[in-house]
Amino acid sequence: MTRADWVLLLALLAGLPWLYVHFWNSAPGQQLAILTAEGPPRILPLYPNRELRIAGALGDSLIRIEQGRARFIASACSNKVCVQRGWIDASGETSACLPNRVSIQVLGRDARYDAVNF
Amino acid sequence: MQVQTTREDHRIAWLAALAIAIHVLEAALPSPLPGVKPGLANVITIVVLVQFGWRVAAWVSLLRVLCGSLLLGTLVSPTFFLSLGGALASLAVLALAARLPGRGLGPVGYSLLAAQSHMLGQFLIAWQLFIPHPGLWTLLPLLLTAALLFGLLSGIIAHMMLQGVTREPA
Repeated sequence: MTRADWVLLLALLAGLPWLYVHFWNSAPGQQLAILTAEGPPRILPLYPNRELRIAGALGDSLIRIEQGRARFIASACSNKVCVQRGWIDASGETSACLPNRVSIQVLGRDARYDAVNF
Repeated sequence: MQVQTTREDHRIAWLAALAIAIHVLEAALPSPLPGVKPGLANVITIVVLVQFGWRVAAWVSLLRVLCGSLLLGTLVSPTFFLSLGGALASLAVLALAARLPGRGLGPVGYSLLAAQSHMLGQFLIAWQLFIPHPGLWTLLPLLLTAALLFGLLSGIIAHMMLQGVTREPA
């Protein structure tokens, strides 16, 4: 190995921890998008603390917003996956109640689509 | 019709065939994470770069992507574009690296650079075309770690191959 090889290898090894720190400590989101089967998504700030009652396909979903985080605290579904999901606060995190067709997502960077398939 | 071929054309074809064979064999290996695989076909690219220069390496690399995807049935599918994006990114970086003054990089350095830029290139294509979700970036550190390990492995193999190739017959 030449000297440049070693320099490159050490630089890459040194850069790796930075990558983990940078990409695994996601910035807290500032806004919450609430998507329901009917109507356009609602985008709300994550402050101040409050509770929202969202009408879904089966009944109401209760969403609590508290100190920059959000969660389902009740929903008119049978399995309560949405409630089990707990708090979400990082941009891109989602919690969804599929039976009731209500989902929430913390917004951060540009997130126009979840995925595109061809 | 007779197509005139040069010695270099034949060399490129032989080397590309070797790379394609490795590429197809490697496709049979299961992958723990989408986008992660050893990339052993790139050992050929690195050996060719050191022995015959960047132009031949580019031919071999791009022919491998094209013919490999024809054989595996992934032509113009997302896999193909990820593969092509990665190959173009690493060729661009290798073109710059080959111009380094002095002794420059050896096969291990070229392989490390190629693996990192290949991963970054295919990641950016995945992000732009297929999954523009901010959650995708969470995968990047893992992907680049895998690229570092496999790039090092391929580089060491390329280094050993070059020693074997350039040794004078006894």
